Amino acid sequence: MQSQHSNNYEDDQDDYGWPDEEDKEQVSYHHQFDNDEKRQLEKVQKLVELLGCSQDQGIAIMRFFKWNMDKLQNEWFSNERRLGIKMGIEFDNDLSKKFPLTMQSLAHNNQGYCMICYGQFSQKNKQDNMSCGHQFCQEDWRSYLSQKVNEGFQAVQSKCPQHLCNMVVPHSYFVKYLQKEDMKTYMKWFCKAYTDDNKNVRWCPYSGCDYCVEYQDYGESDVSCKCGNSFCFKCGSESHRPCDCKQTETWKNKNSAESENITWIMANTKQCPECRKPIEKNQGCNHMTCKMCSYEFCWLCQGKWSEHGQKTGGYYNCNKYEELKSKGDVKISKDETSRQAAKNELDRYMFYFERFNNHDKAEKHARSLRPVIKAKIQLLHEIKKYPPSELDFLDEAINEVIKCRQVLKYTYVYGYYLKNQKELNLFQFLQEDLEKNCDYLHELIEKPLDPYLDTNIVDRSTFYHFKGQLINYYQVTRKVRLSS
Amino acid sequence: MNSNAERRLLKDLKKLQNEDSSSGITATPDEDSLYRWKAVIFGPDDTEWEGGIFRLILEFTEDYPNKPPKVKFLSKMFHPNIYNDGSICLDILQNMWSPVYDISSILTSIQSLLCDPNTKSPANNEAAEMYSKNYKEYVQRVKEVVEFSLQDDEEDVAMN
Repeated sequence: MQSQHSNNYEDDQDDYGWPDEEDKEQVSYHHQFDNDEKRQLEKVQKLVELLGCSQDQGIAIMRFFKWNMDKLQNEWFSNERRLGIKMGIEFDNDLSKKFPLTMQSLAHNNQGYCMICYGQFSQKNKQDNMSCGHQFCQEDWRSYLSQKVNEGFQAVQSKCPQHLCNMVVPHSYFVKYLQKEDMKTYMKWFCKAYTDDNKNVRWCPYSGCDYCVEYQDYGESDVSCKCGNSFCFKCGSESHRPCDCKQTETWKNKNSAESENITWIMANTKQCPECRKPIEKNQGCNHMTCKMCSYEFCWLCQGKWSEHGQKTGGYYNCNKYEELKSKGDVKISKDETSRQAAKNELDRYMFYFERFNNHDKAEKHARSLRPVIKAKIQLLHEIKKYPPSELDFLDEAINEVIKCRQVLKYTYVYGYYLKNQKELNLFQFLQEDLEKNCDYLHELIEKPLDPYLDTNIVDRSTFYHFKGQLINYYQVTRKVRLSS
Repeated sequence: MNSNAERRLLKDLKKLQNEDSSSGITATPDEDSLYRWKAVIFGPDDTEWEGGIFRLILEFTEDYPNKPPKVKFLSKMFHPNIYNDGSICLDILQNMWSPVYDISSILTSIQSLLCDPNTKSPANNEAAEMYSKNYKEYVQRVKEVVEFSLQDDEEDVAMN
C-alpha cells in the first residue's frame, strides 16, 4: 500500500497485503490550493495558446469538457463547429428557422433599440453586443447579470438574454459589469464551477473547511488538506485506511441499518406461541407469562405451561425439548442452529464495533484537544519565551494521535471483513503494535502542560525531557502507522 | 422618477396599444397599481377554444423584466398545463424566462399553449390523460369551459 500523505514526509511504501497493492505503480501527487481564480485561468491560458481562441471561449470550452484535457483533444478537433454551437461560443444561425413562430413575436428587434428596456441607443445609453449580434444597454446587462448571480451558481452558464439565443455570456462580461458584492458572489460561483466539474478536485469534507484538494491521479487514496485533516479522495469521506471504500460503506450501512437489531432480536428472543410478540428472557425459570396476552408457556419447548408436570420431567425441568432434539425434530434443531449462528455473528460484530467505537471516541477527544494544545503553545511562547519552532512538536504530536486513531478505527473494520486466518494473525500483530504506541503517545500529550508554565521554575530540563520523550514516541508511532 | 420596471411596463402598454387588434390578446394595468395587470386572451379561431374569452391576472415586481411576473387565469380552465387554481405551467414563466419578453409575448405564448399542450409535464392530470386517450371528450370539456367563460364575462360586466 502506498501512502500519499502530504509533502512534508516521504512516501513510505510497504506491502503487507493491503487490498489496493496494485496502486503502487502510480506516481501521484496532490496539491492543495485556495481554490482561486488564478489556477483556473492558468489552465485556460494553456488552451488559449493551443487553440488560438479568446480567454472567454477557453473558459467555456474547458467547462464543457469538465477540465478533462484528454477528452477535449479527442473531441474538439473532430467537430469544432457543431461543438462550438453546443457549448455556446458560436451563434446558431439556424435557430430562427427552428422556431419561426416564436421568433416572429419578438421580430421587432430592430437596430437602435434595446430589447430589454426598449430604450433607444445613444451616446448616453451605450449598447454592448456579443458576437451573436444581440444588443442591450450596459445598464440592462448589469441588472441581468446581477439577477442571474443572485439566483445561484448556475449563473456561470447564463445565456444571452435574447429569446432562444444559444450564446453563453462570457466571463469578461461578468467582470466588466458586476459591482462589488455581486462580483464577489460571481467569483464564488466561478470557483465552485471549477471544483464541481473537475474530477481531479474535491472539497474537503470536514465542516468549516473551505479548502479544496487537487489530486492528479484519480484513484483510491488518502489526501491531506491544508486544514490538517485527511480524507479519501475517491469517496470523499474521512480517511479509512486500511479499508477500501466499499468495505467502509458496507460497515457504515451495517452500523446504521436496522438489520443488526433484527439479528439481536433473533439471538435473544423467542416469539410468544400465542400472540407472536418477541419476548426476551434474561433470567428466571422457564415458566413464562406473556405480558401482552397473558399466555403461559414453557421457554424451552414453547408448549402450554398447564401441560407441564411430572410427566414432562418436572415443572422446571422440561425434557420435552431434549426428547424432541434426540428424535431429531427438524424444525426445532433448525431454529436453534440459526439462532446460535446469529448469536455468534452478533458477538463477533459487537467485539469489532466496540473497538471501532472506542477509537472513534478517542479520535473525537483528540480533535477537541487540538485547540487546547494550540492555546498552550501560545502561552508557552509568551510566558516562557520558547521559540515557536521548539514548540511545533506538540502540534505534530496531537495530529499524529488523530491520524493514528483514525487508522486504528478502520483496522477493526478491516479485521471484521478479513477472512484469511494467516493474514489475520500478522494484521493483529501490527494492529496491536500501533495501538500500544498510539495509546502511550495519547497519554503523554494529554498530561497537563501547566507545570511547564510556572514562572518560578527556571530550570527547563524537565520540559526538554518531556519534549524528548514525546518526540521519541511521536516518531515511533508515525513509523508504525506508516508501515501498517 | 419612475423605476426601471415602471418605465418598462409603460412601454409594454404602449406596444400593446399599437398592436393589431386581430392578435386576440388585450391587457391593461390596474387603476391603483402599474404592477397589477388584467388581461384577456381570446380562444384562437378554428380551434376548440374558439369563442372563449379567458381572463387572467399578471403581477409584476420591481425586478421586472429581469424576473417574470406571476400569471394566473381567473376564468375556469380545462387544460393539461393549467392547474385548477389557474396557475400556468409554462417554461418561459419559470426557468426559461428572459428579460426580452414582454406582456404581449407572454400572452401570445399562453395563447399558443392553449392549442398546443405539453402532456409530458401535466399540471392537470385528468386533462392530460383525456387529451391523449379520449380526444373527443377532451374537446367536449374544453367547449364547456369556453361556454362558461362567456357567462363569467357577462357576470363580470353586470357587476361593474
